[in-house]
Amino acid sequence: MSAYEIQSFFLSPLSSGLIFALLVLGVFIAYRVLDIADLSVEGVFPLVTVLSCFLILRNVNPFLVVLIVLVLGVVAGIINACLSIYLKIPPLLSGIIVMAALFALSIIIVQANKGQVNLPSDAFTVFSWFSNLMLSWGASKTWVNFLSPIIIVGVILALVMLSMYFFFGTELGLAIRAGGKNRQMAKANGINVHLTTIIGLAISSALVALAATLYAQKNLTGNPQDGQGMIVIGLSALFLGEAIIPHRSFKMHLFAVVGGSFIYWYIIQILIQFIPKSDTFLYLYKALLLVLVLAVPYLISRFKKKRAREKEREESENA
Amino acid sequence: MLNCVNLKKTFHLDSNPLNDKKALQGVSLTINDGDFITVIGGNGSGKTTLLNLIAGVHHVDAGTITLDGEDITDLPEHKRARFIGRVFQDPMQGTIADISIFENLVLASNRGKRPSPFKWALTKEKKAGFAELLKPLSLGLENRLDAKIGTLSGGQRQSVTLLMATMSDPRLLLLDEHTAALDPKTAHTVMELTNQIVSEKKIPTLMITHNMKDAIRYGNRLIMMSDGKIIFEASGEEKQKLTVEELLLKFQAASEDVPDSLVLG
Repeated sequence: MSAYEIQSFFLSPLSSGLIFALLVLGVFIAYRVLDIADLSVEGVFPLVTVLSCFLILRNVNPFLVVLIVLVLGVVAGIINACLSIYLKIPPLLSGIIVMAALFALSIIIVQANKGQVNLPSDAFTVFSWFSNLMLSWGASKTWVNFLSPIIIVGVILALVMLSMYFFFGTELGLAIRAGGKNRQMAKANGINVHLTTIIGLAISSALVALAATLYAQKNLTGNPQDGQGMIVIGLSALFLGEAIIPHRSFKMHLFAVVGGSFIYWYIIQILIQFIPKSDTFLYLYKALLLVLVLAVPYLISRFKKKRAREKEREESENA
Repeated sequence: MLNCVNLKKTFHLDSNPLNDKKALQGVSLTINDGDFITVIGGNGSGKTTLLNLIAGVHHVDAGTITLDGEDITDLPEHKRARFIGRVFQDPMQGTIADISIFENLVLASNRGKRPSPFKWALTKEKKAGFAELLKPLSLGLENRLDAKIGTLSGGQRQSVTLLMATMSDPRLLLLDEHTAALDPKTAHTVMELTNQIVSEKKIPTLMITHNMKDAIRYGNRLIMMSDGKIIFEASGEEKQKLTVEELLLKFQAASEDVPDSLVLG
């Protein structure tokens, strides 16, 4: 491997890990905090990538684009929650409905654009803004190319984690967590579980939208197919992080989730680098990885329990 | 004062009207200030349905519920929770297992207030206050506020839930066989604690129990339910003089077969 390849082997999963950590945090809120299997991720993501590029092509300020897609994420989350709360559609289905609708919207935008929504390499994005800023500080060009995306996404991720930590420590945040963990207890303690679910899903989808717009602005392209496999990525990273990193407190849980994102992307990078035909079979490998991540902790705990039982039996026989 | 007038509730199990379960067939009940009412009745007699209608878990088919003159018949469950405290049969239901005792108590103390997105939920002052509150239980929990509630025993959990249900001085306390899942000794301890809190705070209370001795020993009124109706009521001295045998006879008079749970209880 050349120096460039080595550099990219280590840095490219890092930057993917950072961007997708935002998505995994969104998935974490839906799956862990609210206990809702939300599939709308696969619709929010492509709509936001396509819309981001569409707007930037029309010279909309990239920071305004971030703001617009955050609002879009919030609205998608609210609609998703309301479908299941007020129309009694099971949450799994309401997520699929929102996914299908947003996917359709992304196709409509592509058609309105008359073809692929690609950005020129000199497009004004959050990343090009920061790269230029670093260049103006006198940083060298190679370093800027590698480091600027990592720094800016890192700062955004740190801010998101910090505000999540504070928000879920407030009275409202605690109420949202309670609603997801034990609805009956929450209601008996005067918590409006409908409202906390709506707020939770809105935040979850907003985080997914944030990840998607950064993904699109970094890769300079938006495609309706971008959503494919996003939920697999999100869940794999979530479960990987939880399996490997201890997470007794909410704070540690946040770190475990983000750590899971990095671990996931390094595993993928190793697959691509060292396993033949990984391009063709990548989605299959990803699915297998998810099975492993889900099954291994269970099998380990079962093995441990069996060992403990055997030990107890031996001891009682000896005694 | 809680006033229930002619409450009716039918559960439709499927589209066949023959399978409808008439859970309550016109129940009227007034709970006066200072009342501690025990409710007995076999499985399917409608006692839990009565509690759930008052708490707002289900909405009534017919009838009205007023609390201190305010009509709460159509108020959603979480809004009623502002003035109604509840403890469930299953110790797992009343608290959240994998957050701390402290966090559970904070949730309960915020009951009736809109949770603020700007106020920090866990503060030192609150923690000190809760420690004081937990001390009289003599369970040593005042030093374990940061422990997860899941690490407590069933009895400890029910004691904490009882504290949570009563800490914000509710206008009504609903207990749904809250000692049924506990061993006899623990059940007795929790029952004594219940009696102490209810009489100290003078909270009007409705308690379902399977234990007929408890039903007679505690409270000032007793009601017996069968087939979705109140079939017997006793209060004051008349109630104190009741015996388990007498109650069983009344059950027999009301229905052909006495449920096992009552004989065993």
